[in-house]
This record gives sequence, C-alpha cells and structure tokens, in this order.
Amino acid sequence: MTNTPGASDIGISHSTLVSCLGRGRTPHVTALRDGTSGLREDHNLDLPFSCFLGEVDDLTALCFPVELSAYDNRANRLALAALESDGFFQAALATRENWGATRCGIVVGTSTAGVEMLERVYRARDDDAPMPESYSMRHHDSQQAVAAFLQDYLDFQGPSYSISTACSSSAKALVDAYQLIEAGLCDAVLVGGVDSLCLTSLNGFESLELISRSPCKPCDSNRDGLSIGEAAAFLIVERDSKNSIRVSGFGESSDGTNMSTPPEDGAGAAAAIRQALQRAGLTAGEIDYVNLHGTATIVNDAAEAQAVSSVIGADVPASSLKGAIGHTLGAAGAAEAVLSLYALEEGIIPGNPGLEQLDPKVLPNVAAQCRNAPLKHVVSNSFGFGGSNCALVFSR
Amino acid sequence: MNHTQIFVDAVSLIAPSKENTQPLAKSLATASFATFPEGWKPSPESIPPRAHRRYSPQTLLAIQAAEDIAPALPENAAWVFGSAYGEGETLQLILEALRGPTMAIRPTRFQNSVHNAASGQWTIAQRIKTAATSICGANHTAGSSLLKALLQVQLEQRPVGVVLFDAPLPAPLDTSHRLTCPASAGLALSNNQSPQSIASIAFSLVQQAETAPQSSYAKEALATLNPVFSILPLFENVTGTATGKTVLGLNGRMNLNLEVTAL
Repeated sequence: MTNTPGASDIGISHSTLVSCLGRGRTPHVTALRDGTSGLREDHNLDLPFSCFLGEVDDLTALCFPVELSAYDNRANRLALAALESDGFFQAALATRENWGATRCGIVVGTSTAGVEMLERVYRARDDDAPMPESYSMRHHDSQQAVAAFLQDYLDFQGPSYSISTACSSSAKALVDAYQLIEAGLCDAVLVGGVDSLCLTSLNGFESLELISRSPCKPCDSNRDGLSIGEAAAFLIVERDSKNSIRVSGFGESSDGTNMSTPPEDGAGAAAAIRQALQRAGLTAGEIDYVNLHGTATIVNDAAEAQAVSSVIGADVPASSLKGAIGHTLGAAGAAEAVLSLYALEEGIIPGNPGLEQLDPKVLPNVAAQCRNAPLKHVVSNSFGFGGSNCALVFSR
Repeated sequence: MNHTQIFVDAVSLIAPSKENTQPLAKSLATASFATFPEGWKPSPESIPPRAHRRYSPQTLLAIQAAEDIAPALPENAAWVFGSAYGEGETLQLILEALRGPTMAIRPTRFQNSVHNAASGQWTIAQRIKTAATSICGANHTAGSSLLKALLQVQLEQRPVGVVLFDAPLPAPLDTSHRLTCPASAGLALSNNQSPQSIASIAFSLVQQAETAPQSSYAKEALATLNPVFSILPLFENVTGTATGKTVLGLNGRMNLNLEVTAL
C-alpha cells in the first residue's frame, strides 16, 4: 500500500485472538501445526437442531469491569478475553501512551455485535410486553457496541466506528485502519473483529440449509455446509512500526448478483484478489499461501477456487481454517488475519482440518496436514452476504 | 488541515416535509418540517412498486437516496452506506420467530437482516462491481461514514457515493431503539472537479464542537432523533453560496472538520 510522507512503515505491531481453540497465540499455533479442530457438538445454545459449533469456553468467568457493566454481553466478553491475551491490553495502553489518546483510533468489524443479548431480553418478555426500560441498544445490539466498549475501556479517543458487511466485515476494517493512518488522521488504530454465537445467525443459516450436522469439511468432496464459531481478534496497526509484518495490499469488490450466493465463476472475488496483488505490487508467482474463505458450502468453495485459480493460479498452496475454528462470521476476516500472521511468523502452511477427500472442483494444492515452508506473502480472502468481497495481502 | 480538495457533485435528502415528501437539500432554508406522516413511504424507481414488500423500509430509503446521486457518479465509484440502526425492522421479525419452538426464519428474511442488506441490494439492482462498505457509528454514523468516504476519495483517487439511512422500528423495539422519522441522504464525492461540482471540501480532525443546524427544518428534523439528520449542517453549508466550516460529530474526542467552498 502507498504510504504517505509522515506515515511510513505502517505495520502490525501486536495481535491477539480468542476462538474455540483457546486464547492467544500458543494454543492457536499448536492447533495449526497439529491440525486440531475446536468444533464440538455439545454447547450451551438453545437450538432446535443439532450441529457442531466453535464455542469459546469460560467467558462467564471473566471479571468484567464494574464501571462498564452496561456493556456486559457475550460479544464484549469475547473482546475482553482477547484484550487479556498475549499482553494485548498492556500493548494497547502503551500505544495510547506513545501516540496520545486522540491519535489512536478504533475500527471494529462485526456482523451481529451484541444481538445475542437482545435475543435473550426479547425472548424473556411476556407476549406483547414492551422492551424492559433497562435494555440499551447502544451497549448491546448496535453494531457500534463493541467499538464503544473498547473506546470507553481503553480510552482511545481518535475516530471509532464499525464496519458491518456480514462475513467480510473485519477484513474490510483492516483497510480502514491503514487508511486512517495513511491520511495522517491517526498514528495507531486498534482494529479487529468480534462476533458471538447467536440464535439469529444459527437459525438463519439453518433456514438456508447451510448448517452441517457434522464438523464442517471445507474443500472435501463430501462437504455439506458450515459450522459456525465465535471469535474476537484484534491487531494494533501503527506507523513507524518495528514489526516487519504488514498489510501490503487490499482489494474490495461487489458481486452485484445475489445476496447470499456468489457467481459460479467467482468473478467478484477474483476482482478483489487482483486488486490486492496490484496494490501490493506483487505477481501471482510471489504468493506463497492463500488462506481461503472456505466456508465448506458446495457453491462457495467452488467459486472461490475459480477466483484463486484465475488470478493466482491453481497450484498455489491453500487451505481453509473454518474446520479449526468454524465460520466466525463478522470476526472471520480479523481472526484469520491473525492466523495468517502466525503462519507467516512460524513459517508454516496450515492444513485444512476436516479434509479427507479433496474435491476435484476445488484447488488441487489444498492439503489436510500442516507443513513447514518459508512464507513471505500470504493472501487472506473474506466474502460476505450482499456480495461483499475483500482480499488482503500480508507480507513480511 | 489536509489540503486535498474533494468535490461534492450531488446531494440528496429523502424525508418528509409539509410541502413535499422529498424536499431537496437545496431548499432546506425554506423547507418546512413535518413529523412522519401516516402512510409516507419511500419510492425508489429501480425497485418495481409491486416488489417493494420484499424490501425493508430501511433498504427502500437507502436505495432511493442512492438513485438520486447515482447519475453524478461514474461506473468506478465506490459506495459507503451508513446506518445507526441497520435492518432493525427485519431483525424484529426474526426475533419474533425466535420466540417460537421451531425458531423458523424465512431464508430471504435472514439474508436481508445484515447491516449491509441495503448496500447489497443496491449493488445487485444496479449490477455494481466496485467496493461497497456499510458503516455504523451509532449517533455519529453520518460523520463516520463521511470520514470513510473522504479517505477513499483521497487515498484511492476515485469517486465515492455516500448513502445514510435510518427508519423507525415497530413495537416493541421502538421504545429501546428510539427515532421517530424516516430519512435518507446521499452525497456524490469526487477527486476531480467537474461542471456539476457544487462545492469543494478539505477535511481534518479537530477538538471542536459539532456545528449546530441553522434552518428551522434541520432543527426540527434533528429533534426526531434520526442520526441521518446530523448531515444537515453540512448540506446547509454545501448548498449555500459562501465559504464556511462545518464540524460533524465522531465517536471519541475528535470531530470531523469540513472546510467547504461553494463553487
């Protein structure tokens, strides 16, 4: 990406991730190497069907800040758990100290924010009863609710807003983080994604007949749909970063064809990937690994394979991590950005949990098992309802 | 102050008034506000009337504002949609379904419940292939969405269409999600001046209070609590004849300073 004078070396200084695999770097890197899945059939949701979910454990045991108890919901607990992992909270405070609170912004990608709390309150009402006066949209189901919690908790007083483009939300948030710094409006931005498990998403995908009854199997011949997960992932992007890892390119596009199904040729996704490579100044042959959006639906995986093949080439090493953490929806872009950073730093091409028999209609170089490989440039894809596409290039 | 000049090529406001259901932003000084009249509905032309029932009032409002500014934008324009409440009416229908034992949700209802349903439906209606973003900044959605659009125009050197929209929700969510009047607004922004440009903008962040609206229409509209109307002080400035400054609110201690020059 083009750096403006005075905003050189914009890089990713810190990151954190909480998913069903655990909290922070160590459990995730271990799982990537071992090919472990965190998807489980037993869960705490009141669902009228059975499925495997990527549920994060022990969120209720977290000590939520008393002064901010109005924000207490599952999404914000996920955010808090991520802040408390890998020293991220201390890093955020040090960032604020270094640049000044008004030079530090926040951009959060989320699809449902705290709607899980609204569901509980709504369902608990008697028929035709009004909403309880104590319920606050601002703190719960507003798409800005997580960003507002972070702003109040961390005292980052630069611009703060949320991107909500379904499953591409938090990938697109990273674009905004860079642009706020490039334009000289911020020196650092806390950026990421949060989405919790909720009845709306689960029953919604069930209505589309897209929820698998077994752990999802992206790219597998016998794949039959999604497993939904939850996650919080944050990164601190700042200028003059001493970390060499950065977003080197991004691409955004719209399918303009259908709300929930991509075109078979993956043209919209291909346009986003092509833009990302162009902005990064990279050729297709320089891409070492593609983190697929790879939701494990028949149509989506095949369309993405078409898109990647047409821009980068069919033989590029690739894998989907949805079989490890589930589809974390609005958090997926940021969660898989952090997993891609781990892959870059560790020098590994992650495997594709759930894969047993590779579908000949997807990319041929998707392997079930993790392997060591020196990585320099990684593409991460995120696609969402509304035909919203975003591709990011991470480089070191 | 960032000295990059960004040009406003069109503005649109879709909201009730006593004289007309669609007062043009350019007539704000004389427009007279009416609270949400019974039966008032948005009427976008690119959606056939018989198909309106398949779209939420929020999406119809957004598409109508987008239609107004689209003629001023080229094919490569990106789009930024901003809404504080998003698809609240669709969400309410889903919440009601979740009270039942089967929790059965209509598939089309679910796919239209996402915050970017309006931008998605707009790109589908017009077969738009460029970037479309959907932003929420709570009460500061207008400033946040405009900030994002200005960044895109400046850094990506491309025109951007901005659409703001919000509409009242049905009971029972109306008491916890309060606004009393539907509205949408649009701005066509460009990195190049053209004969259709009506104003130029230079932007920065400042620690100054938001600009208060001047016209009685804007003051009364803001009292309806619809965050869309936060854009009206800018519209008053853009459609005026003099150079002036407008400060729009953002979340945090910095606000969006817009130095406007009429063209």
